[in-house]
Parts: sequence; C-alpha cells; structure tokens
Amino acid sequence: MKFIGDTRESLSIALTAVRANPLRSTLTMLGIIIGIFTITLMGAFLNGMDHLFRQTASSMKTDVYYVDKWSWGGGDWRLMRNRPDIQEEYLNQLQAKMTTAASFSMSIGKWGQNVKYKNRSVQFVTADGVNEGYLQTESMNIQYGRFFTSAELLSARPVCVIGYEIASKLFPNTSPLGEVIRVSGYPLQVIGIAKRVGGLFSVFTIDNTVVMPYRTLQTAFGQKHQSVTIGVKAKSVEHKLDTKDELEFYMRQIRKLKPNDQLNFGINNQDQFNEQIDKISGLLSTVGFLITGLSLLVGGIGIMNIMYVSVKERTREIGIRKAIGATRRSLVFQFLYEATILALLAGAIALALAYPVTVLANNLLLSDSDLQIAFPIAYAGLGLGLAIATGIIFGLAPALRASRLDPVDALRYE
Amino acid sequence: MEQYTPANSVIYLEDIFRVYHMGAEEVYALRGVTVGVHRNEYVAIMGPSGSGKSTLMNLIGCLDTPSSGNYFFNGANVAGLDDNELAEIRNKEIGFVFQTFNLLPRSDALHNVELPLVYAGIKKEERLERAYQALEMVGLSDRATHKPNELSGGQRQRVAIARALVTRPSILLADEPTGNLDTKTGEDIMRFFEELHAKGNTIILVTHEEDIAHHAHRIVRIRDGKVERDEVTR
Repeated sequence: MKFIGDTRESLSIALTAVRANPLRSTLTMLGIIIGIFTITLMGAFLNGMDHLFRQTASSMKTDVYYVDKWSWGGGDWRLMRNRPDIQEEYLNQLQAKMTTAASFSMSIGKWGQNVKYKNRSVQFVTADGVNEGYLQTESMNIQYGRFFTSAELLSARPVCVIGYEIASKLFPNTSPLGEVIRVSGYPLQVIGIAKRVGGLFSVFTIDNTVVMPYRTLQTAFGQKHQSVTIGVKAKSVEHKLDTKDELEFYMRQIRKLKPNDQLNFGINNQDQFNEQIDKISGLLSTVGFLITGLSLLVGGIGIMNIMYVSVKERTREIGIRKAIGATRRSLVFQFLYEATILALLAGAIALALAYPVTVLANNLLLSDSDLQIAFPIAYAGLGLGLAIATGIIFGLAPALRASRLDPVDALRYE
Repeated sequence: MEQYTPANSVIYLEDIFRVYHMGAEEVYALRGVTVGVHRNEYVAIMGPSGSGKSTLMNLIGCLDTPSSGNYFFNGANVAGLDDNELAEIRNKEIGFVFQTFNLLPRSDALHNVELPLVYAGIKKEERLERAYQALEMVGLSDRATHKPNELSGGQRQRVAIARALVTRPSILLADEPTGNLDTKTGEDIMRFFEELHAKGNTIILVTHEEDIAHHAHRIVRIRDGKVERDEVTR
C-alpha cells in the first residue's frame, strides 16, 4: 500500500499546521468540536431519558384502558372541560355488557393535595379513591402493610396506603404503619406502603399518591359532581384493541352518540403516553442533529478554508512531490488524509470534553435524580464517523486543487 | 562519433516545439529542437535566460509536454503520455537536482531521500535501506535525522542528489545545481558529479555559467528556442 507510509507524515503535518497557528486551527476545529460535543451529550441524555421512560412506563399496564373525561393524547382543553362527567353507574353497565374485559376498577383522583404528619408535610400529592378492582388494573405492589379489605372499602373506613415519596418524607426515621396522617385536613390511618416506582415522573406515579377507599374519599372531599375514571383490563394483551373497540361501542351506547358524533369522553391507554414520549425524544434528537449538522457545516467550511490555505502555502512542496513522482491520486489522498486528521482531532477533543462532562453531570447534578446519564459509546462512534465524513467531504475540493497544480508553475512558486 | 537515433539514446528529442499562449499572442519558447543523449554521457545545456533552456529542461524532465514533436525516452515516445504515466517516468527514470535544493523542510534527510520510493510503492524496510545507502553514497549517513535547516547548503544539495539517485534513474537532471552555493562548495558538487559520471550515470546539466558547463563533456548551446551549437568539449 502506497499511502500507508504517509500516515505518520500526514499526522505530523496536520499537527504542525495546528501548532503553527493555534488560534486559526482552534477556530477551525471549534465547529466540529461543538458538533460532536452536542451529539454526544444529546446521546447521553436521550439514552438516560429512554431508560427512565421505560422505567416509568413499566409501572403502568399497557392492557388497561381508562374511560375518563379527559383524553391523554391532548386536544382542545375547553371542549374536554365541557364534556359530561363519567358517572359511577357506567361501571355496572359496562361490567354487565362487556365480554372481552378481565376486570374493572373505578377511582377518583384529586390533584394538588397536601399531607401532614405532626410538623412535617408534603405538597402536591394526589389523593386517589379506589374500589376493589384497583389491584387488578394497577401495578401497585404493597411493600409494607396491606391493601384494604372489602369491609374497609364498603364502609368508608379512614385508612390509606401511601407512596414511597410520601412515606420517606413524612416518616424519615420511623414506621408509618398505624400512624394517622392528615390529607388536606382529613385524618387517615396508614395501613400500607406501596413499593417505589421511581422514574422521571414520580410526581404522577404511586410514589406521590395517597390511596384510600372510594367511599372514604367521597366522605373526605364531598360527593357532588364527581367525574370518575373507569379502568378496564383486557382479557388478552394480544387482542386488547378489541377490548378498546368494545369499550368505545358501549360507551357510545351509554352516551347515546350517533355513529358520526365525536366522542365526548376519553379512552386512554399507556400507549398514548409512550407516543407522547416518543414525540418528545424525536423532537429532542431532531434539534440535536440540527445543531450538530449546522456546527459540522461551519466546521467543514473552516476545514476547507484551512486546507486551501495549506495548499497555497505548500504549492512548492506539491511541485517537488510531483517532480519526484507523486501522482494526482496520491496527492488527493495526502490532502484528504490531512483534512480528515484535522477533523478527527477535533472529534477527539470533543469526546475528551464530553466524557468528563457526562460523568460530572451525572455525579454532581443528577446524583439525587432518577435520570442517570453515561458516556454514550454508540453516539461517540457516530460522532467520530461524522467528523471523518466532514473531513473527507470538505477536504475534497482543496485536495483536488492541489492534485491539479501544474508541476512547472508549482516548482517556480515562491 | 555515433549518430543519435531514438533507439540508441537515453533521450531523443525530435523537432520539438513549445508554444505558450499569452492571451491572443503565441510565444515560441522552443522552435524545432532536435537533440539526443547517449547512455553515460555528461551533457551541459547552456544558454542565457529567455533562450528556452528552462523550457527544454522541463520537457526533458517530463514536467511539461511539447506542443509538437516527438520525445523518445529509452526508445519509447513519451510526447503523448497522460499525467499518471509522466509521473511514473519522473519517479523511476529521472532524478532531479534543483538550484534551490527543493527538500521538504519538515522532513529529515532520510525521509526526503526515501520519498521517491514511497511513490514507487516500495516496502518500508527496503525504502529505508536504500535511502540510507543513498545517503551513505553522498557521504551524509551521519546526518540522516537532520532536517534541511540543520544542514549546510552543500550538504542539502548532496541530500538532494541522494534523493535523485535513490530510484536508480536513467538520467540525472541538474538545474543550476551550484547556483545557490559558494564557489568552493560548488566545485565540490561538480567533482561529485564527475565521480557519478565515472560510475556510469547519465548527467544532464542545465546552466548559464560557462565554467560550470565546462565540467561536462559536451555542451549544447540554446539560443532563441533553437540549438545554436552542439560540441564535445572533453
């Protein structure tokens, strides 16, 4: 191989070019450094987010559909607000008619409550009133204590199961079991603690929820005009869409909707949540790639510029090389090689910067968070690949110019 | 004296014209040059500036191609060859020695001498061995790791000669090789050329200095793009 022999020389020429004019070279490489740095950090973040979403999502069951006044997928907020409430009676009607459902649950959620125990308190807690179907449709696990008995559920006993976050904040050193806490002023005895879910949205998960019997919630917060949520678990995960269709059919019947009428209720599922998350990740990576692309464009133009200068400065050298037998091809390779090495050097600097940043960010900023990021090997590889491509693409024009110089003119060049 | 023919000459130029186009104007640098060089000749091409001797040297060195006429190198016509083929002839058959040495400033002596072998596609170990031998031949094996700016003018020119000879070319083409050297160093270089000639090398020397030209055994005088006189001097 004719060109392998030039590897060390090309590297040393590239390094000499960098040393000879550090400012110009640094500015040239800055674009590529920013580009590769961005894609690497973005990759670290996306990987971390993805892991976290999956962790959060796994706390919800994908084969459960929720009939709710609100649709999770978004939509016109004012329209949804004016929808009729989901009534308690629907539960019995659906239970009587549906054939593809395995179990049903009914609950009412109250957002933004506060919970107190002695002088400690937790804000923005969700209070859920649930019925006996709750354990079937939700993936809550009791870690300490127990769930409600049928008697407790029917008789509106003032008992509750609390999430991990609440338990750890209200009872940092003692066991909450048997203690009486106040949920927005209403006293409830803690009989169980749910296992921790973790994840980015712990505010919205069981971790930050007080679960109590449905009747208890009604007693505590009043009974009038409550829209409930009805959970319907499909008999088979594979045919869960049949369950959704059946649920929609009977809900239309209950609501007396004509075939062309828009739904005036929401049928929600974990999958919608995942779609939203995918949209967010998609947007994030689009922005990341856009920044990377623009930076690489700027960096590439810089490389092209520095290579044109290099060709100009080394015109005589090109003449000498031609006189002693360099072909056009070998000169194209030589200059492409140098451009690529410059770009790779910038890529390596970017990775050298990105690595400690990911580690420090993880250890300092995210030490208490469930979001954990690590140096993303795959994205780093992609970044180096992009750097190489940038070097080749933007080095081509200067390399071709070098190869086409007339040897007589080049040798005469001062 | 044996007649020059394409078959018995290392180089044989036949009715060579070289025309430059300066806008609408045509400038004739060479107007029908015919000249041959036998193996192991030592020829000086002489002429004042503007005579066309530089153009002739570039053509002989395959750095340029004639506008018309034939150029036989070892019997083969090279007038119509493409860039890559000319590069190969420059690499394998011609050793250049320049007035300004034209060494690569960032590379040490050994690497400068090795470079033609890189373009010839020769393996690393053999390259280094041959480059080292070439340096030894010019008496600079102890300067192998020196960069050109760490060498004297005479040493630089000797490194350049080692580079020119490392591929064992058919001709050594020297363009004013003593032009940038003081008289004594110039004489050393000319003595060295004489030794190379004695060892069997073919040397073509391009110069405008009469006393340098007289080191050669034959002088071809160029004036106004034509051969003015072609005489054997020694």
